[in-house]
Amino acid sequence: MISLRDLTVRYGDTVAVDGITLDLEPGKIYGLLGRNGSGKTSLLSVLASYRRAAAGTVRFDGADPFENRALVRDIAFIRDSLDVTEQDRIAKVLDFAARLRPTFAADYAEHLVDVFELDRRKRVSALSRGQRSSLGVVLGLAARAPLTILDEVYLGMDAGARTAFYRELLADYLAHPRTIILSTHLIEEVAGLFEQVIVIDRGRLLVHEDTDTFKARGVAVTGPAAAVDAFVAGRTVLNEQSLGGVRQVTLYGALDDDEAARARAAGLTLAPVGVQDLFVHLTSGAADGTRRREALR
Amino acid sequence: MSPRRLVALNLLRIYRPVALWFWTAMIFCVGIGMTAVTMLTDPTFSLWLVIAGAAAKYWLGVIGVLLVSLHLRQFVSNGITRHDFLAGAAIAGALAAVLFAAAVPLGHGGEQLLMSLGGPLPAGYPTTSAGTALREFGHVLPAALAFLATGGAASAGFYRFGAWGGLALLPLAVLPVGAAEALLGVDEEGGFDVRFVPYAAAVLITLAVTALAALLYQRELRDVAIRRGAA
Repeated sequence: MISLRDLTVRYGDTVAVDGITLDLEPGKIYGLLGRNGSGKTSLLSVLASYRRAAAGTVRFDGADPFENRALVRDIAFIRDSLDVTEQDRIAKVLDFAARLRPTFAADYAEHLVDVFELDRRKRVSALSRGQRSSLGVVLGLAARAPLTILDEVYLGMDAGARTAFYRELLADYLAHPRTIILSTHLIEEVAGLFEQVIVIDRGRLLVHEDTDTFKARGVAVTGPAAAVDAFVAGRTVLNEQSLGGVRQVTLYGALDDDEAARARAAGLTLAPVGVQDLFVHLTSGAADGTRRREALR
Repeated sequence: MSPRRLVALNLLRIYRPVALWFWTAMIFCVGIGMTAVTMLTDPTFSLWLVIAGAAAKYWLGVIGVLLVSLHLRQFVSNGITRHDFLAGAAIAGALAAVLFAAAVPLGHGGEQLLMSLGGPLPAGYPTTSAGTALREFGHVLPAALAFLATGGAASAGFYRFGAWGGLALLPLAVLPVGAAEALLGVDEEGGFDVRFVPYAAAVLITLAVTALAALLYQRELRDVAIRRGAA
């Protein structure tokens, strides 16, 4: 179990992570979602022991991972900027990882290199943005570390490479279960992989729940404006759109059977809301966002 | 295998081909240079000592810089703690310094052997012996360690504290190089002199400030945030 307690990360006067408390059960795929500058990478950097927190604690089964030889060895943190030597060839980068990581699966890395059509003789500096991302995916997945953190690793990947990434990640996760944290902006594309969703906004934890629960919390209610307004009165409205006399309102909070029946009886249509839509609604707008966060609590 | 040994072995492995190229080029250049000089005049100096004696130190200084800017994140991202990286780098650096320092008197001996094959050695040529070889080794080794520590401490200061913080710590970081150059310098003929203080004191002072810079290096990096790039 990974436990974060009141975790705070500061850069001078800027608070990047603001008192986050969170428990992560092992053996799950987590989707870490947040807008640009929300503190995702700072949070992941502390989890990976790349930096110390300004305040609060991180514990892996009760032990502090920072500079803990046994725990650090079990963490693979892949950033969008690769932590490799630019002048090295791909083959050398993989060989280096294999020499240092006891869990590194060299055969699987070779398989992934073929899947992503990387040229082993090519230097890192000569790779395109998408190819660099693919190399990051190879390093992250082949490490088979008990805690694998992939921070925006898909940048520049084309649709084919991204699809291959999702397929390989899921297949290898099922064959070798481990804790995987995926930080991403391509939410809708990856949402199917998440078992749990963590949303942070302006350094604070907004939501942490399993994906199905999260998705069930949103419902889009569409129908005549007057009927919609009557139905949603007193509920947490995340978004509303009107076109002529028709209004669509996104509600946060599950409807029970009676409420759903009442809505249908009033001529309203109910539809699920995607993870991305919920995320956007929850994190958009400064003042509005604050109001939403308060409503969620 | 312990992580620090793993770090040391991999660092040596990374630099082995580079060092081989370096020393091969050095032998080639000094060989051509010394041949050209002996065709024109009777040399009263050892080109090997002049060039290799200095290059060995500078090389270690560059490695000290690269340890921070290039290798720290490379190792940490593969599950190595900062502490183990620093320990492994210290082992690899010390071993490289010993090998480089040994290469200087060995090369001097080789140069003398090649010159003696062409006839009697020039009268002013600084001939080598077991005693002079030991003296050369004893000069280059502390100087090489000093350059290594300075390279590491200086770049670690910039890595951790940025431009202004790094500049503020620079005087401390360059102390070992200052001491080595002032007290264990090489004269214009490639001879190894002691200046200002006896040899033992010069070595002790150089090693003491080198240890100070190494401590600074360790303090700068023991809990440093791993940056995305070189600095």
